[in-house]
Amino acid sequence: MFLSNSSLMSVVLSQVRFKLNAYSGLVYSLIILQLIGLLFSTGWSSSGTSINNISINLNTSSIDSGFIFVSLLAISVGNLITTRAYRYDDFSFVATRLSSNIANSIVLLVFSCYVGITTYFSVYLMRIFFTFYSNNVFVEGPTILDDPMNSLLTVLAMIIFLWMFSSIGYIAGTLFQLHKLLFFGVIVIIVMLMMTGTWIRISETIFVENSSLLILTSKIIGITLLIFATSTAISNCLGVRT
Amino acid sequence: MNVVNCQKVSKGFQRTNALEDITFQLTDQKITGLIGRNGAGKSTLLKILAGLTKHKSGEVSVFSENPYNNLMVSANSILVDDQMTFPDSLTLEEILGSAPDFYKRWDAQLASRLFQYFMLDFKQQHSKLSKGSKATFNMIFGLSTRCELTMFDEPTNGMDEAARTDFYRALLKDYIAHPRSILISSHHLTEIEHLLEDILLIHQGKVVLHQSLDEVKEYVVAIQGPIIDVERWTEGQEIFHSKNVDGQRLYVVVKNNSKLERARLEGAVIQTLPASEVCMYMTSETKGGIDDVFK
Repeated sequence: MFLSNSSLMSVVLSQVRFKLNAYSGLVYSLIILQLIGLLFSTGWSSSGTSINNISINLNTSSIDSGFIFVSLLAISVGNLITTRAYRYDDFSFVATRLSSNIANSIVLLVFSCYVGITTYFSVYLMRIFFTFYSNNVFVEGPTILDDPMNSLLTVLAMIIFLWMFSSIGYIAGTLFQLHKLLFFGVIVIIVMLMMTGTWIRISETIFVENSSLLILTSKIIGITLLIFATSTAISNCLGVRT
Repeated sequence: MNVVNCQKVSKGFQRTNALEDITFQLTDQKITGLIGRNGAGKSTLLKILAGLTKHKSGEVSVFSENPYNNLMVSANSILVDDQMTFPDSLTLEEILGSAPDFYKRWDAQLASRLFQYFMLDFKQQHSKLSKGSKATFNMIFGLSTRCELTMFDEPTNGMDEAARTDFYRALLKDYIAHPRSILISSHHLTEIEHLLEDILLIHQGKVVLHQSLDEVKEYVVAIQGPIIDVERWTEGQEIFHSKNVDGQRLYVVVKNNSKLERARLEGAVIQTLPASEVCMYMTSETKGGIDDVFK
């Protein structure tokens, strides 16, 4: 009898390759969402002043709304890949719950990178749009060349935030797969916790009181890894093809 | 070496007990038939062996390890059933193309030759296939993995007559070329009888028989003769089935034993039964038949 031995690492890599190939269709929904996000970005905030019959209107627009849209996408994609069809697909090939969860979190990270970078650069698309199709004169906007380090850090922070959002969708989906009532129970508990003072204090320490973006990013990475680890632990009791 | 070792394995769902104290061993390089009626627990047992579901109590080992969440077992075993799914975003060709990445001994040549023989469409999606074609594709996938433990759960469901015959032939040919442990569940024993070496018969979550095909065939016999005589010959024995033939004669199925030699001398007609009938009688709930319902 010849038994082949696969290491966890190699199986995870195979799964990641397979999933990236299989889920590439999600890119289309991403592009549509980014376009919608851009449309909403044109609803900018403006401030105006008028001196000697000359009125100056300063309009500021940002990719914030675009980011909100792709964050929603991240949550729903995270949730989507925990559904039955996606989970069962893994087990038609070599898989354990651990390898499958690690592969999923890597795939979500890769998607977050893709989404984070394209969303960041969609601001240039917006500028081109303003230059050609708007009555306003484009004055200035920070570019990646002005402050490369900070720009890269911003992209990194966006990526990590998207990854965290996807992990939230992921754990919600895993809980839902485990037990529907449990899922709603946990939601209720979390909402109740959010209203307490301690919770606000904790979230302030995590999200607000940061001396630099890098510290915030590393905190978010920690939280995300924790969420994925919890999801893995939960999914260990989930049966396949039942 | 034992490929599968189950000791007092139990598994229950919310209200029912799917498996109760299942104990058996499967040795290397054999084709074993897992036979049982509807709801006997065949699929549950296979899912436990494949590591897809967790058993409640007892001990299961596949290749000497617990199959649940085990990478080595997953890499060396496969369960082919009608619930197998593949991503819809990939064509059948792409699915077959990504398999060697997972299964080290994947036989791409066998896969593509079977694929062409059964005239499946390379560009088709798995979920769009008809029931029979899906079963055929899953079978091709399962055979090509060359896994040391290959399990089929009702593999021919939905296949037409010709495809079934071809499938059994392909299975046998591939098994002879590359011997491995194959466990195949079915409720059509007659169809797979010629493939099998061993039979594992389960009923209501318990192992009834685990013997070679020849032993199973000789396990019970049918006796026919005048009612009074047959009742005398089979007195005190467990009767699996009895049927009144023409008002005067009785047809009784009992366990094969030495006492029957005397009955034979006294003129009883004793015959052995095909394995499928043996299994049917051993798992029937009532002593009569369906005819009794309409009396």
